[in-house]
Amino acid sequence: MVISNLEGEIASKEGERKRKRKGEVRPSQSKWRLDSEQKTYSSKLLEALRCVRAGAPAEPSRTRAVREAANRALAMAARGQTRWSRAILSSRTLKLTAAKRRRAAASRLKRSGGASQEKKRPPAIQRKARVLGKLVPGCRQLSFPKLLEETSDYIAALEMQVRAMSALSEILSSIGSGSGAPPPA
Amino acid sequence: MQPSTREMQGIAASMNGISGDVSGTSHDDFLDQMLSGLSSPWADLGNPKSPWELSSANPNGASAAAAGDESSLLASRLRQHEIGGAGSSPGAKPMVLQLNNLHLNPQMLLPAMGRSSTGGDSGLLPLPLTLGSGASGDVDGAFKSPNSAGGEELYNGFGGSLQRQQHFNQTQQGGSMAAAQGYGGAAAAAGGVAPSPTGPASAGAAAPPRQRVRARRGQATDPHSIAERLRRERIAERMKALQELVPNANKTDKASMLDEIIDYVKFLQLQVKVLSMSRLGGAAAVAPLVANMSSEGGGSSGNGGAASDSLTVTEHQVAKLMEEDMGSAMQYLQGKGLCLMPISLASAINSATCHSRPSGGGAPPSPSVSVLTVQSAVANGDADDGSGK
Repeated sequence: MVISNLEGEIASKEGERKRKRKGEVRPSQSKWRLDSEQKTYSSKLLEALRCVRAGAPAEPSRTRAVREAANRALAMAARGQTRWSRAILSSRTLKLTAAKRRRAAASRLKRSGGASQEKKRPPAIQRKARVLGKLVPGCRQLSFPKLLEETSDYIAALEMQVRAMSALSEILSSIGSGSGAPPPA
Repeated sequence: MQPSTREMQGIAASMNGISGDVSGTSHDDFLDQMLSGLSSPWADLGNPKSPWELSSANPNGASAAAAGDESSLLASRLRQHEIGGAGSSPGAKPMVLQLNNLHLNPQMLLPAMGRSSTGGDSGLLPLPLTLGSGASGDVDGAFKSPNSAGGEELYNGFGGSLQRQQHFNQTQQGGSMAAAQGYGGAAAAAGGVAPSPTGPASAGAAAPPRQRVRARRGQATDPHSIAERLRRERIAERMKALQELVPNANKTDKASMLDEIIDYVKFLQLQVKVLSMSRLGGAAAVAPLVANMSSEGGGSSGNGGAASDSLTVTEHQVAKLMEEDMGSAMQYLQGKGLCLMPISLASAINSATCHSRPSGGGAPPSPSVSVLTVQSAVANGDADDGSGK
């Protein structure tokens, strides 16, 4: 056990090798650190942004559309191996904000905190696990170890997304400033 | 039915024969010999429990068969013992009386034996001791009933007493077995529960003393606790992986670690929101997209124009508001997601960003963008959360 853990740590620290953990095949989080992955994602994102520009000209909806496009592109980059990516891709077209609002209100009214199983985790940790499940898309009713797995992949993917988008915005802004218009202060 | 009755009669006859032979021997000797004789055929039967189990399955029919078996064996044994030892008729009669007492009140076996007035007391006294010891003892006690002379009535009584005896046996065996199982189950449950709160390391030490092999420290022989331990290890592994991802992960507590993870996920999602807005809100970001999308036509240029127009419109609005009241102007700006800052600061920030370019890693985007857009992110983030995420 300890040896396998060490190996896992070494692999993730080096960030270049894919490792099987406990016999399950899972894309290691190092995949999100690769530059090639980021470039792929950036190009996909540009394509998506073009579509968005055409689609939703209004400001607030366009922001959301950009974010959705970015998330969808990120989910595509995950190649369907994680739950959150599949949830993003499958639910974005169907899920309306109104539906989300209704569900959020209903859950707030219900306030079900039923820890049906035995007292394996104290309720504080269980609450936090529920919160985390709400944050990560598609991971509401997931077992705790699975949830942690999805979360780690999601965090790595988000970090890559942030890097890619910031780099893109930098490039675009530099292009913009290069064309003569000063960057907004 | 009939054969068994005949056998019972045969037993009665042999009993009488036995009683007839013995004249001077004491009742104790006779009874001891009867006891010894009775126990041996029972042992010959092999598993003493089986007839009882058979009879438990089918009390009426099986008990008849069992009675038949027992009575035939008894008859053969008694004939053997005929020569060896026998009891006088007065010895037999009190035995009959006692046995009648026996099969009439099998539950009251012990007091019945105590109540027996004849000299057979001492012989029968060992019965309660054997009865309590286990199945064989019970069988011995129950075996007394076929000895009683009589016919149909005895047989019926024997069958009834058998039933009652077997119930007694069953309850006793069941009670003992239940007790053993309960103890084993309780031990297992305690062993299973004990590791979970205390942790896998102290599982062996915390388990109550059991009769089975004592497990090593940190291990458990229970499948439940093994599964528990596996699950815990899996969780700990994932938490370690998460700790490497999340900054400020020097927390040892699971709850605080989860808090950090949640905050970090929220922060990253917020960053994505911010970046998605800076993609549009900045005229500079809009312009190259406009240039790239030649196919879009007038829409994009209209958008680009609108963006710059909106900025000038905002500026005019702010200027108007500033004439009236600074507070309202600031509020308007905050609503727009903008803030006022001195030009020197803005230029300083801009130059700072141009110098220090984060090459890779999860560093936040350029401060100029973040300064502009953090405000808007906060405002729009709240709005977004209110409208439902």
